[in-house]
Amino acid sequence: MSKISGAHIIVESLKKEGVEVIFGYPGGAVIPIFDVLYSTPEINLILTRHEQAAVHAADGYARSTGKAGVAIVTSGPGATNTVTGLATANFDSVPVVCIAGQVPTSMIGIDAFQEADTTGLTNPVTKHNYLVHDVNELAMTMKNSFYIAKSGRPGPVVIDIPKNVTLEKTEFHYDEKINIRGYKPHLDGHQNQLKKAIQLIEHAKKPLIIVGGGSIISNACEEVREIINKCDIPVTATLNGLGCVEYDSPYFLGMHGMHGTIAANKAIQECDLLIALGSRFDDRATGKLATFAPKAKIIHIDIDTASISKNVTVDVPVVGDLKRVMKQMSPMVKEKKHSEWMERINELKAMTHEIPKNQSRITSFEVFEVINDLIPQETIVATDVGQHQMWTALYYKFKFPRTLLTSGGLGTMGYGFPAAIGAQFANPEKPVICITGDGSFQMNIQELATAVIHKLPIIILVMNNGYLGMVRQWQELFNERRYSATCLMYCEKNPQECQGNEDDCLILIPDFIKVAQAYCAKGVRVKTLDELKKAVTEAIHYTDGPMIIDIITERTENVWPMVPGGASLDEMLKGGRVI
Amino acid sequence: MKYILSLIVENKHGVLAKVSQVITSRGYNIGTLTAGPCENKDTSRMIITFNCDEKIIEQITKQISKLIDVIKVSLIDHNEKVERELVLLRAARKKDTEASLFRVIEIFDGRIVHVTPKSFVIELTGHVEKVDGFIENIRPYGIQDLLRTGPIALTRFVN
Repeated sequence: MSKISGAHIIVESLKKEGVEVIFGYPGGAVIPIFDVLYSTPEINLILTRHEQAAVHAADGYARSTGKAGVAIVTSGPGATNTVTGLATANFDSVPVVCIAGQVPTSMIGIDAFQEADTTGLTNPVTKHNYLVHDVNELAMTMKNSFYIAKSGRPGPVVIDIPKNVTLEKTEFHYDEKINIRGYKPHLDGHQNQLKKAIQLIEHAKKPLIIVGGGSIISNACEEVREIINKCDIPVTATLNGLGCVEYDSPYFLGMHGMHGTIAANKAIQECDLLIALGSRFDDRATGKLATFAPKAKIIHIDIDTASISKNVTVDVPVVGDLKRVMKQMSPMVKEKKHSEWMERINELKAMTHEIPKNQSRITSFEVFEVINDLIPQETIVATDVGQHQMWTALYYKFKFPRTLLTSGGLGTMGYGFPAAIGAQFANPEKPVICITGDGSFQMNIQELATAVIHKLPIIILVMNNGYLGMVRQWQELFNERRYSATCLMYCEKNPQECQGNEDDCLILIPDFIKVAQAYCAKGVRVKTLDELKKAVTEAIHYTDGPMIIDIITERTENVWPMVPGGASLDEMLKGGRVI
Repeated sequence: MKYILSLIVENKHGVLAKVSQVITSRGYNIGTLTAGPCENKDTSRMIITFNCDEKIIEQITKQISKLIDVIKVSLIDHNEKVERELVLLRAARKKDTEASLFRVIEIFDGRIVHVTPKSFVIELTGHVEKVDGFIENIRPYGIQDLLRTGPIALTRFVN
């Protein structure tokens, strides 16, 4: 068998894994790999404008498809720039394989140009990482990396490859079998645990299901919907669980947690059995732990043993892949009705918070009324982080799994737009929109170049209120309106003297329409609902590239309801008043 | 409560860093850590001790088990273990106390492994409590240097 270089082995391995698109940024240490990719038509190499965006794009590609997303970056700063992207993917269990160049093995440790301890830096933000010392280990390492990234609780894997390893030659064997002795994910639920769970479900009078991101990751949504209908159990979602159950299901209560719906949070506090499916009881979702679901027994089904009883102590843990566990449970559960409880649920669902409308500027709810009316339901929605993200969770009508891409755990501003780019490459036939804010969008705005060059018809909805709105909201509620560094407008006065009179301010820093023009993208600014409707309609039909819709929104609208940090889920605020 | 975790890990680059990082990044403290090769050259064993409550040791065990390079993690049962620690210490050599120092070393079954006109280097192995007791008894003679390995432990029976 003839020998091929490490760079060829990497690319051949990518082909074996069925990789069609990779996102990357070149540099000295990865020139040999990029050279091979140059003559590999099977793999579409997409140049992003920043390594962080390359990883977010791979993440968006992965979340919207369930396949592994792949990024490739150079050594040193190329690798350090991926850390935020990797941490984002790690937190939300997204399969990403990131290939990082490294200085030659002979130069590791001498503080060489563009040298960084990539494995050391990425240890805490990846599921696993490798430093490949020997070209003979390369193929197996590639194989293992894809397997580790995709299986069990998925996550990012970094492969740090010194330049000399990409140049050295060896024979290429791609073993189909995987044997990693320290890594054997448990897939099936333990029968005894399942029996205990079924017993609790049968005896419950007020059961409630929480669907987390795990339900979507394991493609268990169909099975989950079946059990909900069969057993007449209402359901609430975590942020990353949105889309698992359709918004218009009579059982669906919306998201719970800090900015959850009244119905979902009250139902958690009232239920007598809580069944958590692929959710890790994040503090933003549970509120004060001591008073979380005080009347409930808890069943927790998750593939990650370490997620069980980490925050909330549970009565019946079941470790396994959710889809398989649901399939095991399906024949074991009996059909049931909880009429009284469902009546109460409907009462709770009728309790809605106040929604501002008809203000001098467009409000959040109005934005989503237009979006829900005009955007097709199979649209993939990427968000950034902040108020617009919570409004998306509250108001957007999610019908299908894998239609929401959002940084739930790490809360990474700048995630949305590159994730939308990744998703659009993976789903060329589907509409992709990015809902963002004027703060978040600027954190990866350079990717307009990538989207324009590849003619990606992404609709970018910037909810522009001139503030870092979520932090501003906290400052208003909890810091005596001391708006420290949250106004994004240009002000010639000392910020402390600002009365919030925007007539004195040049509000458009930056002017997103001019930014769009600079990148040869389309951009429209809208100030009224009619303008918004017109712009969204136009954007849907515009397929030549991205279109920015700069929506001038209410400056000081807050996200309601809100459970203040450290409070119980039923202590919700609405303009300072407990609901 | 004191816990001893026994790990069998891949004998590879970076594994010790991964193990210690997963512990410290979650805010837990390592009591002692020893590492060395196993009966097979491609695996190593680590013995890590913790002083913590039950909930934390459970989380630590789970988090360590998640590491791909960790093949096996077991919590060593206090009643079912053979445990040893090695201590090396340098004690001052004084004419008037030399005889009684020798007696202490003899009682604890320690050994003098190096002698200079001004000091002795003494070694002792035993379970942790014995090492503690030995050090307490040597302290009055003047300890100049002290080094403990931390315990290593095996279960009495194959499990």
